[in-house]
Amino acid sequence: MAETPAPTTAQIVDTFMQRTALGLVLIASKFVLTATSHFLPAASEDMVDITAVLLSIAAVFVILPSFSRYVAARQKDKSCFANVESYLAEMFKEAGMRAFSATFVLLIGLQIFTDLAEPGLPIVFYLDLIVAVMTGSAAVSYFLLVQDDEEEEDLPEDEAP
Amino acid sequence: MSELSNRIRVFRAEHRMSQGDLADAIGVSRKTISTIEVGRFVPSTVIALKIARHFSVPVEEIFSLAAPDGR
Repeated sequence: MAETPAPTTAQIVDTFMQRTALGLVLIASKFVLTATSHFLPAASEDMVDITAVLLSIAAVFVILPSFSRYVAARQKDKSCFANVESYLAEMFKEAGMRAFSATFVLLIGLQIFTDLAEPGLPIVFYLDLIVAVMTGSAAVSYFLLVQDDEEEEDLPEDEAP
Repeated sequence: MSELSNRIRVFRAEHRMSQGDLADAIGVSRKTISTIEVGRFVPSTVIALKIARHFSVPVEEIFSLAAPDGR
């Protein structure tokens, strides 16, 4: 049976970026759920808690394998990672900047909202909401930035080696 | 699209290389090569020089600035 070639440094970085973005979706879902739980009946509390734990575990399982591969490869050769450049890593940075802006706007909006309406919601709700928007907007921005990238043509089959 | 145009696809075809082959040769991912090719990602000087060195041509034979008026 043919052995699968070991992934290159660039492939390790790309996989790590993709998995991290996917993990962010799960983490954002968890915080959306816990934030909305403040408006749900008390009877649904157990269900919300279990789902939140499952989403957290899923996030760890999604990110951990690629993260450990990334750390292991980095330990082996640090200089290799210092020079690696990746389109996905650049898009991840861009998504991070957009998420920062979205979170900043949300904080200003919440400040105005609480000053005007004084809704009396617990502080945990605001923390859940802020983390949900921060992680969710980073993940959504990332997937929007890279969404059209599967269509690029490679060499036609008859030209490929 | 960026102002930077490139002839990577032409050089790949001449050398009968896939995007993956070129990516492995210069130490980036296939997606990075494909996005540079279509102008979505402007490569660093290092990547541009690595591509040029791989094809044994000056970098300006592969990369050039598009005319300001789009011609």
